[in-house]
Amino acid sequence: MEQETNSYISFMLGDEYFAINVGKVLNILQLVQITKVPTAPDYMKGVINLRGTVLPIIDIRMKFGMEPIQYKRDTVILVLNVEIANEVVNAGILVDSVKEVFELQPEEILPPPGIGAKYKSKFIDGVRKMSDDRFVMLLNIDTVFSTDELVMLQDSTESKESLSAEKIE
Amino acid sequence: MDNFQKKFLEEASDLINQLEQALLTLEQDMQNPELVDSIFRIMHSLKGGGGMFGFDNISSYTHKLENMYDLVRQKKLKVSREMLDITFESADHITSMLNDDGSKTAEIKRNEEILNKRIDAILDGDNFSNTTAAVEESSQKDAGLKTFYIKVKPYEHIQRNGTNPFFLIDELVGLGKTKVNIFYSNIPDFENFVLDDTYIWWEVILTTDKDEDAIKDVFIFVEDDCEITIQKLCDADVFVMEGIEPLLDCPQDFPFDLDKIKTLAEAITALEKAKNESAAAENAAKTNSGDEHIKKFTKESSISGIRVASEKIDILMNLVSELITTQAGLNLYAEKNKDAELTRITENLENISRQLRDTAFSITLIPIDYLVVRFRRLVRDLSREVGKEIEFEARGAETELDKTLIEGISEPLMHILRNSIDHGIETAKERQAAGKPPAGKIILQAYYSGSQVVIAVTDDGAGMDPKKIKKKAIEKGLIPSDAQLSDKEAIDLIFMPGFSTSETVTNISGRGVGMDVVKRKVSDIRGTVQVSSSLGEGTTITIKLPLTLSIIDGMLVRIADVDYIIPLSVIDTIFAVEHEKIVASFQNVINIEGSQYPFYYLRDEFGLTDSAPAKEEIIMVKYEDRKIGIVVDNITGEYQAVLKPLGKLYRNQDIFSGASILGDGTVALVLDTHKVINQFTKYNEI
Repeated sequence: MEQETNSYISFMLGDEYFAINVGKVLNILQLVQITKVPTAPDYMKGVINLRGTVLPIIDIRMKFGMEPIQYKRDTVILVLNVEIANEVVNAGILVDSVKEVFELQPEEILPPPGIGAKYKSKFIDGVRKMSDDRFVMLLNIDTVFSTDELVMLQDSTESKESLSAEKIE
Repeated sequence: MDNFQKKFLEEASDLINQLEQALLTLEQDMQNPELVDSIFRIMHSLKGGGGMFGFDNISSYTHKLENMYDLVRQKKLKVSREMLDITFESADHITSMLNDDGSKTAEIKRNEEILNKRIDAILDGDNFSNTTAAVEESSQKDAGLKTFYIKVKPYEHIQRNGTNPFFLIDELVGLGKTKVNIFYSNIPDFENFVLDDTYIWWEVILTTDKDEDAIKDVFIFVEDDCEITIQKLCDADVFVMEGIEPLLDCPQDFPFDLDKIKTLAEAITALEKAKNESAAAENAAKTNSGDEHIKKFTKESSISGIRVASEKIDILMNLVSELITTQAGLNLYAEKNKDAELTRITENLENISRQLRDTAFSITLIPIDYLVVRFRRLVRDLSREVGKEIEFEARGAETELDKTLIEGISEPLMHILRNSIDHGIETAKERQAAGKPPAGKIILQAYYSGSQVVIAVTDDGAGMDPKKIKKKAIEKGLIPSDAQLSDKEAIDLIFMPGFSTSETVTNISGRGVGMDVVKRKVSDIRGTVQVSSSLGEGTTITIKLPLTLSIIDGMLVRIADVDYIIPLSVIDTIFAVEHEKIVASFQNVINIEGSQYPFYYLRDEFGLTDSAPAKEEIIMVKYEDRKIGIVVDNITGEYQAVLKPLGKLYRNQDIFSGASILGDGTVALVLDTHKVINQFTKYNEI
């Protein structure tokens, strides 16, 4: 049911620009009260009510080894349909702010240069240079959510050392 | 495959299920004509449906079976064991024809040839006496025939209502054999003749197998437009009585001589009765059973339900869930507004929603009886195969379970039954040596227990020997050779993967998979398995299943700023407790009203560090046969919760059976207290 288009939506995590194919994004929500699920890993923020269904919310910043998100006026929830172990599920990610929607031809996508050192490159499909010379990273959201990575992060949140080690990988 | 064919397949498997049930009962009561009738009807439906939807092979095969049972119905053939065996195997054969995807056609053909030969053998072997059959046939024809006298005298205006009285007479003629007498005497002179008026009337002598009501039905719409007399003359066919014929031939405008006909008919009937008293007695018996049969049939069709696609039920359940959530929102709003009228309406509506919820839920339930037929068949076939005599009894088969649970429990139960038949029950010789009746017994018992359904399978077989089990486990390297185990612990070893006590691997239960698979399958549907056994007396295997309802009655509680729901069904009592008392308690045991209760402090277990309120609530929940406390900040009140899955991402958090959306749109988590206790007990022990 998901259609890959040439449109991407960009958003910010900290000072970095990221983008996700709009085919993956179902909805953008204002921040609402999140019900915390005890005993779950810290980056799993809890659940919210999305029109009668229960939607899990992920702090994607923690997933990338950044500081936990601070809720601000611009903080929004992106509702995504992600594929986890061949099953499409809905999940929300918290992002600091949503920027714009832009068109991108496949040939404009550059392979992830140098930044492979900072973020696991399998999370990144490629980068694109914006008009203001900034780079936006095109996220492969399915791999971000893939089961192994969650477990990996679950283990790595145990200590700060392992977090930073992961960043350098 | 088109839709109609799919429908037929569904219907056919239902019919085969019914067939097996009828056969199993027939086996106990071989001469029961009603059962033969119902088997015949099932065959007939299969034949008809098969032909209509292009399953010609099924149609032609069931035709042969139908013939066989038709002969039984006509009393030309007696039900035999071979016949039952053939029919049982035919049920399997038809099932494989239904499921054939083309890959097994040759095998099926071969099976059919074998079965056909056996059917032919039965049909040829019994060369029944034709003469008695003929007599019986004719007497059966007479059975139930009655003769009525009907007088139809329409009022003059009947045609103005659009009724053509001729149609009434036509309909009467259609009911059976008739003799109609027409009266023209009322026709007026030409000047007085009104074209639209009716002047003629009729008398009818009718012999039919229908009853008086059927005749009355003919006139149901014209009761007010004519004068109708219906009179029963006799319980016989007057048209075959030679002496009556002249009486039926009346000249025009001369009424039937009813009295004469009646007396004569009675005399003739009495004479025949005297002539062949025994035959007449049989006749009457048949008439009776015929009546009873018809009664029973209508009763059946009035209670039987309708077939609904399961997706429609899912949609219904979803709508009910949404209604309940909306209802919670309304309750909240009404409470805030303090409007008496609004409160009253809200309460009424809530009452209705609750009932709707319960009814909708009950639709998704299926009685365990649905499985029992299959189990009976299994016990019957397997016990014959292993040469043991085994009785199977099902108690509480009306106990209802959710459709998905029924599907999940079928295989584990099959396996348990196989084990009982193969290993549990001894051979007749061994049983007699042990002073037991030669026939073994397996009892399947199902009942509700609190929020659980319990299904227990008990056999009176040899039981399990803990020593033998332990020895085997040591041999297989499952436990160290110096392990100290109680008898119960030893018996529980059968749930370990790779354990099988059977000395010879049989093709029935010793397939290398054993009780561990049963245990896994049952825990897949959130159930538990227990075994108890005493050597020489038998074994009981108990499966407990949760009544996982998608909508539950719960208690809404709060810990820190999060709402939780605890199912009401597990709550025993609630006490208020000082926070200090909890801090002061030793080893999580608290003294309440003179009793000591272990408890779990969820704030600690959930790793919450902010300060707790001075007064907290302790909820006593039932855990196995004990009461265990769960401490929460405070209690909000009763709440009808629609259970929503927490989703794949939270699959590791199984202490929550789901989430529910509250009236204000926030999410509450539903606690599975059983899992809470299990998980935190493990955690504390490490």
